[in-house]
Amino acid sequence: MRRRFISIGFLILLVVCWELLSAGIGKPYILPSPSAVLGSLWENRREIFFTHLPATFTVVAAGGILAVLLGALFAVAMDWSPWLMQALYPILTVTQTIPVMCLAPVLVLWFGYTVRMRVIVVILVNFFTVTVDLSDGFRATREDRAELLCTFGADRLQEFWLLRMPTALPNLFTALKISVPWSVIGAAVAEWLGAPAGLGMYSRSCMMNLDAAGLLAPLMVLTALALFMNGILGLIEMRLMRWKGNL
Amino acid sequence: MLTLENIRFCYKNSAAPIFDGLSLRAEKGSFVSIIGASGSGKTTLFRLLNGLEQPEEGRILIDGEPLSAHRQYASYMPQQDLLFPWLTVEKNVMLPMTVQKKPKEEAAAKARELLRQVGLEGWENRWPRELSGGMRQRVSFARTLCAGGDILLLDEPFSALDSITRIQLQEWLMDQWKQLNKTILFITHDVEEAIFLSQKILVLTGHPVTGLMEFTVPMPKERNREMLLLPETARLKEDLIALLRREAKAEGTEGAERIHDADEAGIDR
Repeated sequence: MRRRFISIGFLILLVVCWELLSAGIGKPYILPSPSAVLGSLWENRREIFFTHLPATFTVVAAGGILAVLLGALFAVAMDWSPWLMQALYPILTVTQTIPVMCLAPVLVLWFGYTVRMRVIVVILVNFFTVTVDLSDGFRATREDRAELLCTFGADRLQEFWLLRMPTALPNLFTALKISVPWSVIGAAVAEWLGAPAGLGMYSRSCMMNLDAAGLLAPLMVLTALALFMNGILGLIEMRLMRWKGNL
Repeated sequence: MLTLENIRFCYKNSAAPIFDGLSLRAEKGSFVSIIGASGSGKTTLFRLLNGLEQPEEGRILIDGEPLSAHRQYASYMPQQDLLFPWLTVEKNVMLPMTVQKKPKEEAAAKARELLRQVGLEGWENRWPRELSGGMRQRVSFARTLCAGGDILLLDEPFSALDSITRIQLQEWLMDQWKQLNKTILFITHDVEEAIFLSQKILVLTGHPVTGLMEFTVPMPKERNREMLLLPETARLKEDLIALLRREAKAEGTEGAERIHDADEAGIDR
């Protein structure tokens, strides 16, 4: 609790410093004050919250969920087949180093400025993390536990649900928590390239108008969105992993 | 009765066999300890008995019938408790029944009964991390009983415990055996533990193991720790220690190579 007070206190201090610095510089198109950003958010609340936020959220949710499903599918397949694991795992670890975001313009060429393009960007940004993290989780399964289950007469499916999946669960949550902010970033970047609606697109149009406060306002919403989703994930994690004690 | 006839077994990737012509008999309801130097094949013997490995030659019979005719005839308790940390104590105990797809209610009732039997009533909904080492071993024992086998294969279950807990659990296991009417095969490194618990001690000797040296413990079923000081018991202890020492010495010359082979094959023997 005390630690939380310290971090909140420090955050307030930073915001106050920002406000003072902005007033000192006196050029709101270079550094808008936090109050100006909040003001802009309030002024354009209808547009931001009812047009752009739902558009971005759709892309984040669809892309995020598909990335997790696809990533999990690959991880399970690799866990099931040692051959697939040997063939794919080294490639996947290497592909993690590719800055997927830079591929976004290519996707625009292929799919145009569509929702599909933006969802694919989000999938590509997260897919490898989920696969590699979950796959590492499966590989952490203790062989002696697997053999014990075998002596009880367990088949492969039972071994998967009773042992391998619970072993990999902490890794899955790590992957999900990394995926949430990256989904938001992926969606925003894809919208920056061009979209009919979305917080990234709104932010870009504000930049064109040299409206720095308007540019930062949707970023605040994006941050809040990522924090909110990670908060929910944290609650689910706490519920599912009570056995670990203090998380 | 459990019978092994002329078993020959060799791990893949290892040139030398572990067993060659090994035979063994354990009477129904008896308590048999198996001792031997490190790497002599004690754990391998259990792996054969619980079906994790198959012999190249020879037969394993239960009451005269081949092993394949019996389902869940043996229940295995590993050296480490291997409790699943994400399952409550009760769910850990009922795990074998969960695997066997028994009705949930029946499995839970059985698990509660077994936990009462091992003195852990009231701990059903706790997590394994909340238990001490001795309690975890008792949960592991309850889980072994839940598997329902008539033969219990206990692989050094107390080796990781401190000496006081170990003595307490030895006495506790003794009581359990008297009540359960099960055959227990008990692997241990500890000669005194083997003498205190069992009626018969089998020593694995030679490389490969071709036969077992059999010793009958000169103590009645109803026994206590003071009996370990009796002259005949003390003599048995000295004989066994001398035998294991000789084995370890022989192991020293040729064993390193074999253990290296087994390590290469990734096997804990």
